[in-house]
Amino acid sequence: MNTEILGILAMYTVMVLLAIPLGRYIGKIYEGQSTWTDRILNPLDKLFFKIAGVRADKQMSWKQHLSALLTINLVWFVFSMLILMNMSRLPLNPDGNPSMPADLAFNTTISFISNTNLQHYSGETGVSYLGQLTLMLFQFISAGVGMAACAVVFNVKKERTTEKLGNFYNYFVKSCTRVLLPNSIVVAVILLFNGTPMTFKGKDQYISLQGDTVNVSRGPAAAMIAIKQIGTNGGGFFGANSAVPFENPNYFTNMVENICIVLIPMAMIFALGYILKRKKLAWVIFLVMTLGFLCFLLPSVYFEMRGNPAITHLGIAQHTGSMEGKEVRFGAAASAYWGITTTVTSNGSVNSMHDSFTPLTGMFAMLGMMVNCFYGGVGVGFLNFYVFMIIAVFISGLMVGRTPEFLGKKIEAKEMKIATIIALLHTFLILAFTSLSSHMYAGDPKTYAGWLNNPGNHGFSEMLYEFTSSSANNGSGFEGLGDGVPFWNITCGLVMLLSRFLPIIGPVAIAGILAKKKFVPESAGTLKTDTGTFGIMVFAVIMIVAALSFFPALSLGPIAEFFSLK
Amino acid sequence: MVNEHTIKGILLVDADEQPDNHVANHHKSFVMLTIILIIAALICFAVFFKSIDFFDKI
Repeated sequence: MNTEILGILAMYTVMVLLAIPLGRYIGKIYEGQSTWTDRILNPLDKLFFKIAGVRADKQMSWKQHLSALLTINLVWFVFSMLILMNMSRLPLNPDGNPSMPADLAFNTTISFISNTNLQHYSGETGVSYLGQLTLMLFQFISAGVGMAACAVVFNVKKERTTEKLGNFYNYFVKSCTRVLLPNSIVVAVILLFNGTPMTFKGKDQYISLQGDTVNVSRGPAAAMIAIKQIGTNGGGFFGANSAVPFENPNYFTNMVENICIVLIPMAMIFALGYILKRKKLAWVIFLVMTLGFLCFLLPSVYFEMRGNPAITHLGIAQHTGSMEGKEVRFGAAASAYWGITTTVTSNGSVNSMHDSFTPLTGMFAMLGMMVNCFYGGVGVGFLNFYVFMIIAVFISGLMVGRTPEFLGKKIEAKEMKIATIIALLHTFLILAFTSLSSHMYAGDPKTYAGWLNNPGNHGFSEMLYEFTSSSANNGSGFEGLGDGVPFWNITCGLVMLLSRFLPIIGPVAIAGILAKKKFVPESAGTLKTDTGTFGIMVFAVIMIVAALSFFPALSLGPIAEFFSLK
Repeated sequence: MVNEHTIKGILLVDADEQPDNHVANHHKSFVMLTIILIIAALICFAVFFKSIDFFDKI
């Protein structure tokens, strides 16, 4: 048991130790300062800009940034639909995998351009190598888009009044080539040396001890798994994701992958401190996020290591904890740790089956996605947190009679309206679509019998989890759900699309509007935002919004299930 | 009177006709669904572009 706890502590410590220098490096890149990678990667950047005909030094307003962001995503959407719906006719398909039907291609395309990576297909049989490479490309692009949007907000927060906010394409390409690519190469090489396949050959064959001929899927997996973790994408090469030994061969790779899940989201906070020259603010944000993370992590590890009460009632000893749906080589604690890190960030990869978590661990995993800002996704995690900071500044300013200012800019009705719309959109999408699916199932259980293996509280949790995961752009699943049907493909696709771009547009709009306002230097009347008191205020706002929004739904699902196991 | 031969005949006729109809219908619904979903996504993107001005003027 102590070894398992030590494993978790080691992972978290290494994560923080790596995130601090990486944050400084990311800050330098967005500041346009020289770094040691310039000599190698400047030619690559210039090549991209030349091919695309982009002038990387042209300054853009916040509206131009968003227009560029949406345009490239629209182009990628059409491109991906074409590839996924025609895979069987295209090259790099040695196993003869079929093309996707329209609804599945719609779901998969949106899933990957939105950094969600919700997979309603199995990688082994549902996608050709060309399809996998296309999806891998989107894993870079979607992560780069999130980081570029975040870089705009960082740039705006400097103490000045301006409409010139850098160049979107410059931020985007540099996020991909300077941050995502080098880190992915390192991780891919580590995975490769530990046994993860990296080949374009088709299925391999071997004869089992029983004498059966078994086909084993393989492919360019190491490269995809590296960016899946570094870019908080989560979409695995194989159906069982990082629970399968080809994706996650041993405890060491489990540690490496788990560190990668939170590395860039955490580093972005330190990048903020570097760019704004406000390290104290960065540490306050980091501590608030860490507090929230620990609130979900500690009980989850406890419940998983304690074992499943239903099995205890049968008189079966569970010395290794609740091991249903978990890999023996990772254990209960490391599985719970992964379960929470993958859901507080928008990663969504799994090394155990979340459907088998004890009820409250399942609830904390869902809460991580419902809050969606404790570290969060690469770039977008901070954007979500930024919305809550705006709300907290306004509320606490009113409470103590101080001017609601954030980093020298007055927060007024317009910014509050946008922040409120964005904060409530996530809640609305999750609850509205869960209500719709529950209504359909309850109204005609025979027709929709294929959806749920468990029609009770757990079945409700599965539907709630699916839409929560879609709306948080997470992509993990409870997996007991029969989700490979048009209803789930289309509704989840719409939820992922709406919950990806509006929560990017909102914070960038707030930042852009604030950037145009007159800079007001801090005075005695200014509400300090880099103090512990303000940090607690932000934490309280996040938790109260989450509790008020989701407690009734959670009561019907995991909380009811928890009490039914007593 | 329906005898075995007639039943076989019907089955044979159906067997000849059904796959073509099925393929045609399947192809039609496949194309329809593709168009509908692409239009739905385009509408979403149009909403996103509009929301930029909406948030500016809110």
